[in-house]
Amino acid sequence: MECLTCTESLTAFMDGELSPDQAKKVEIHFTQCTPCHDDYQSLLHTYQLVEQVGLLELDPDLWTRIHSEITDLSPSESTWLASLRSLFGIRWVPIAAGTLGVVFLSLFFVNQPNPEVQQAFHEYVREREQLELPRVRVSQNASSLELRTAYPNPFIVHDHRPQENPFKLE
Amino acid sequence: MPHLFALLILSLSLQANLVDSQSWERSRSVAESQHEIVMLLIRGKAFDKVLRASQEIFSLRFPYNQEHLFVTEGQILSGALYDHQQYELAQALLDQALRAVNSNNSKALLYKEKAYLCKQEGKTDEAMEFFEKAVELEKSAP
Repeated sequence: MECLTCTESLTAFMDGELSPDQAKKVEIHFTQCTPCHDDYQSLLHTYQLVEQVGLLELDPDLWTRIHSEITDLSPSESTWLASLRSLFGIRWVPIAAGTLGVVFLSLFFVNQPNPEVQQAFHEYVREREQLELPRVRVSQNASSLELRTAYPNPFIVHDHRPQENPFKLE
Repeated sequence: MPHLFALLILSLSLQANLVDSQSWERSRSVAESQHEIVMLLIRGKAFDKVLRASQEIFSLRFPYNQEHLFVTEGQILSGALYDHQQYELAQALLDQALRAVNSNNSKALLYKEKAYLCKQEGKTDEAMEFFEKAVELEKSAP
């Protein structure tokens, strides 16, 4: 018997699934091959260790609870997200990120002001600044600015008639 | 008889014009005085009273062809408030003026003023929004 055949039949031998003839051949191989015998000893030791561990006593209601947890999934999880997962698998994350990126970029470009309007605005600001009346500080401590000239009253009707007293002697 | 009727209509029309003229003169006079009051309040830094006083001006009824005076008033008063770092008040006063005018051109000028003040304050995005609104109004003006 070759080592490969012996290794492949080892678990079946341990479980008593081999025919008596095959089992005899394996046993003979163990007496002739030290590595295969060591493998057998190692596996035997593992079997013994597993047998020492007792069976876990599970709560009889455990399965019922697991079942209800699975079936009581929220509709959102079980519908759109589940269908998304089933459609794209794990690839849905980069796809969603890419879509979001495209949306943000398009919003950014859509919200960009028209260059012509921007240009017009800069021109307006330049013209408007030239219209500003000269301002001086009221005092060194004053935080605000005052116009040197009085703020004009737009509601005054300018009367161009002579204002001097006509009765005054020269 | 038709001549008499025409004469009556003409006389009524003249009278209406005279009443309108008197009413406008009264409104102008009130606005003139009220402007000085608002300026005194601003100079006296009584900013909490400014909007109430300026509303007295903007609630006056001006003829359509005198609407530009509201625009000028909005520019002057908001400029004075801006000089005293009362940026929000300046914008609120321009909003008052906006409510007082009807023509798109007047509104456009006031929006441009709002844009200008925002720009001066460093709020460039907001300034562009107001300016775009002004441009739209100018386009839709007859």
